[in-house]
Amino acid sequence: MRHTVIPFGPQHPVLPEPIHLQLTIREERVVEALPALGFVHRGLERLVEARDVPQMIQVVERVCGICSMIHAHCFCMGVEALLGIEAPPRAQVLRVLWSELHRVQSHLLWLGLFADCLGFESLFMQFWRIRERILDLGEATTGNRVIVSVNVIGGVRRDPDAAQLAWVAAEIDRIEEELRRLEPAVLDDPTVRRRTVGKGVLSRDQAWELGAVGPTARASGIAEDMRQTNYAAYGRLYFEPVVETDGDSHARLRVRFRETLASLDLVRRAIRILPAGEVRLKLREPPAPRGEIVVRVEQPRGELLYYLKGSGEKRLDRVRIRTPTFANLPALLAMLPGVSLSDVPVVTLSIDPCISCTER
Amino acid sequence: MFELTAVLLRNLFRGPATRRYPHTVREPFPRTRGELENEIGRCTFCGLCVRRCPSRCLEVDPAAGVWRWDPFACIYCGVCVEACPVRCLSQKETGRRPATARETVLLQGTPRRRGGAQGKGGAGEEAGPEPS
Amino acid sequence: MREETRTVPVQALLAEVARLKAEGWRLVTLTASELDAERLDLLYHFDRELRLQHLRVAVAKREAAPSISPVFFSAALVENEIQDLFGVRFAGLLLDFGGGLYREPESPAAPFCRCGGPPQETPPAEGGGQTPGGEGCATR
Repeated sequence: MRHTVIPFGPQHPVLPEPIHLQLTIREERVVEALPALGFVHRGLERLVEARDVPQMIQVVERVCGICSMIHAHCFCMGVEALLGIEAPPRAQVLRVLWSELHRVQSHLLWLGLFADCLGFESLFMQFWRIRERILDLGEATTGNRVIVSVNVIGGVRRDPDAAQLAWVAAEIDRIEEELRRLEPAVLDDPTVRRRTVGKGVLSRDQAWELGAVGPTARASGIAEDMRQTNYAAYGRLYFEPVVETDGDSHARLRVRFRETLASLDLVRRAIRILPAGEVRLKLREPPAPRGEIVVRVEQPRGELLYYLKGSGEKRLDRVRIRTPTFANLPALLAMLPGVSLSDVPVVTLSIDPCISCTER
Repeated sequence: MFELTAVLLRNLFRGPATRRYPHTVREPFPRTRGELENEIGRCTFCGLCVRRCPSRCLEVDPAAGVWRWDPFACIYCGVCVEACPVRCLSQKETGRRPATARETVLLQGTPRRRGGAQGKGGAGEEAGPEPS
Repeated sequence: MREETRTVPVQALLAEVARLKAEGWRLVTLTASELDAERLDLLYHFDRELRLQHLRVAVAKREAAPSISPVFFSAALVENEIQDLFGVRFAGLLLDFGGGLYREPESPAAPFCRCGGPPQETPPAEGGGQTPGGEGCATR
């Protein structure tokens, strides 16, 4: 039997982002998958030469459109550590609050796209309808819809008042109730199960060996979540990672759905423990960090790593960003062999790929 | 079955979840970062907004008294509004309407006198939370 | 750096990485940053139970660095990225795009090198192989 090579992508293969997979097919089954990247490489890391430290916040927010808050959060934490300062406690909790709202909207976006890729249009609409309300919460409290631009070195730029926070908490309750009503439609639907159970299995050992992170690793039984390192205010929120052990596409779906609910709960608890006080330190001079640091936070797609190097100038020497999808691509290449061609989109989407993150 | 009927009835009477944009536009949230405005009479052309702007969408010519803003390069982050020492910059709560051609906003003010009220900006950076 | 960082010679790198893998350290990623016109600083980040550890290796841009992809296959992608952006070569890379992961043939040779380009192995394309960066290290 001869092999057939099928190009998958790069024009919006299953998600509206450019990635190319060269699939070697034998009797409708994938034998080998090879990636080709570089369609959206923007060289953002090198912009560090032209932007000073506060301006880099707006640059790193644009690495990923979906989780801008968490990129800026990570960058600010790194710079603050290099400067030897710490954001005020209220700002730390607010950062968690917005990070978790971003995680919820990112997961809802993915849940919608995943339903769409299965052909489940009405579920796609339901998830995106709910997501819109999360975006409203973000817009009302931060001022921008998706790229919220709320972090600064030494704190945050907005301070929601008590009435806004009460509204956020009430909305979160209503959103959770709606999501719980959708739960059987996502997790137990026989069509969804037939398309996902046993598809693209990644064993625990494979996941570790290939360096998978985030929900992809947690669906394979690796209970590692950067929020366990208790950065910002996570130490006071008694956080537990969501873990599944099956390692297939359905396990990744379950992890993300349960994480969405867990994040809503974190938002609620963050509002409850929010201390009063300042949200922003007054810096006496423009930040000029010196030294090297590695910071890690948990993005919706997994572990995000920033390496910052400064020499006491107002511009950093090097910013290196390792995004979670970059770490999950080798795992995807290991999942695909053996999968039927018609399941390739489902398996590809199940790692929640973000290509503009990957290439930066 | 009963649940489905209830959902069906609810959906029948609730109307659509979407709005008929641009015929119906949602009210903006308070303090949404929208279109940039400059009260040019108060502008001292100190250029701090230009130096702080992450997207390089502003230009200031102190000699001619010209403040230029490229709304298509602007990322609406509000950093310039925060940096402005005389608080002449502000943001509307609504964004700009879509346009068919690229344009820049050019505001002409009175050029700053030599040696006059200068040097007020620059030092004393990083105020508290941004002004509303 | 807040975590343990050890400098290892290039020759000992593969053995050290294999030892860490046997001890249960997961490869997080590699970071390259330029030291000067001749050398590149490679950092290997490892994670075990949420703790980090780093290995630091200084490699010459002209010489091929050893690839750790035979030990950790996940390193192949990031080593390809460093090849593309900094113009070094990794010897023994399991999945080698030959400097073409992100770049096209007409792209600049080592777009992330500020201190002058790498040695040109292949004759530059017509139009002349310009030196990327161009600002030089003296200004930094």
